[in-house]
Amino acid sequence: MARIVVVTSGKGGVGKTTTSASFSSGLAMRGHKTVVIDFDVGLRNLDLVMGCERRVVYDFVNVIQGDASLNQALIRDKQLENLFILPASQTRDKDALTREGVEKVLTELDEMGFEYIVCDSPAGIETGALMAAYFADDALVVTNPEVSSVRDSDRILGILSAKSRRAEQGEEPVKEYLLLTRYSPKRVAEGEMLSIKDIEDILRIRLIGVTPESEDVLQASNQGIAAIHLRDSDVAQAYKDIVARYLGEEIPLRFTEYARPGLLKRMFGGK
Amino acid sequence: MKSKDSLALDFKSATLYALRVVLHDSDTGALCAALDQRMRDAGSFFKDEPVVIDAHALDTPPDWTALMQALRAHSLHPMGVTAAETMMAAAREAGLVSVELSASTPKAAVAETMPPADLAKPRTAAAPPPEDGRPAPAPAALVVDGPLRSGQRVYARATDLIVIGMVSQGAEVIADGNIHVYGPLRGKAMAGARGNTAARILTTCLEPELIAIAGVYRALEARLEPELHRRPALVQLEGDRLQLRALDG
Repeated sequence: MARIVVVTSGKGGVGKTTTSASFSSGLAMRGHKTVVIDFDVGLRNLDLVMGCERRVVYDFVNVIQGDASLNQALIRDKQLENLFILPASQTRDKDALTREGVEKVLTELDEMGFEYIVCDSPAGIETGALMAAYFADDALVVTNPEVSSVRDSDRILGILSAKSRRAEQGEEPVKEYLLLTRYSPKRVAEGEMLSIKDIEDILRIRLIGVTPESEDVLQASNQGIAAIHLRDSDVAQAYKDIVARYLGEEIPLRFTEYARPGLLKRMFGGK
Repeated sequence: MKSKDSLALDFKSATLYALRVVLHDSDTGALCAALDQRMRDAGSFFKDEPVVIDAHALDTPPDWTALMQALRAHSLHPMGVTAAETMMAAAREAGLVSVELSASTPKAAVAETMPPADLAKPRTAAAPPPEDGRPAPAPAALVVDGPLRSGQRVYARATDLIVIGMVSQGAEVIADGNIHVYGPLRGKAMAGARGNTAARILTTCLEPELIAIAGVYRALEARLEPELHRRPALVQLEGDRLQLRALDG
């Protein structure tokens, strides 16, 4: 059975799409046949972040409505041959996502032999987000170290525990993982951001990783490459660690401690 | 196992808890407007409650059909009417049955239907003595196994509420009896929601947004004093004041 992973947050702009792109790429890099679905009908972004926007002919809604087959709509990633993207529709109404339609597509993807189905949820708690979350086995809850993001993540966790298929059918609950993005150890040390400990204490779910605040993310998305592919980037390393932890490896956290710059560094600059 | 000569059904006694909607006006428009406002204030608190319409205060009957529709539109389920016999003909025609309620004291009824939105009204300790000597049944407490997150709300009707896990900021726990939270209580907690002044709130980690017992509430904007903040604690009503007490030691 394919494992369905929703990447969600409640709040917008915290890094869901960046995470979806890098996490699905990471799974594919480890040899797992993976598909990533953009649930943000009307505001599609995933195809841009993964650099396949010019190859979008058919989309998720076309498949749901039977206008195109999955094979026609799936786009093979330009970096990884066992990663596929199912883009969102730019033009359709978000009500086009029906539970039966989504279920049909997920079942078909499972039959095609995909091991992981990553669902990139839109922000908010409307239809798209509920659809993305409903069928999830696992949830990556993307959170920034600030109070409103943490509050929205808490809200989404409540929805997952009450309104997912697993909850409704009384199965084992959705596995929840906390993924902190845009973490700046320096600003935490200066008291401008919530610390990992604060956030863990509020949300109380397993921390799967921390990605540092970095300009690399913007650069990668402008180039249409998932951030995990960047060379010599902390963000790419952090995402690789996250994928490894998700697959069951024990790896210590990185990029979470603030080292005060030494005298030489201060004199001669350097990042 | 069914024995051979048992019937396909049995009669057993049951007591129904219902809301009493007391009408003060025969004007159906005014009633519907008042109902809209009440329900807006109450949120989903009264959702799917059975309702008995108390029209003893009226001389002329309202438009029963319209009133029933309005109640149903708010997910309230009219079970019957209690009213002077002269008013009942029209009610029966509209499909309502006559219901006898014991101790038809409108005053108590008003207190019972007070939604949590009405928290601002503190009630004096002298008001309701514990249940006129009638032995109250003790229904099992409602147990929530796991955290309650922002936006979630749990109401333990006519019983205690036990939460094993945290109650996040933005979550609400409401009980007609006591509330126990084995974990951080960071959201809102309202015990004795239908007026039980003896109800208490207990938690292993006190840092709530709001606490209330029998309608007497306190919003906690500032951090609690150090001996209470994030400590095991008890909240109870003494007179018309909420008392917070640390539990360790």
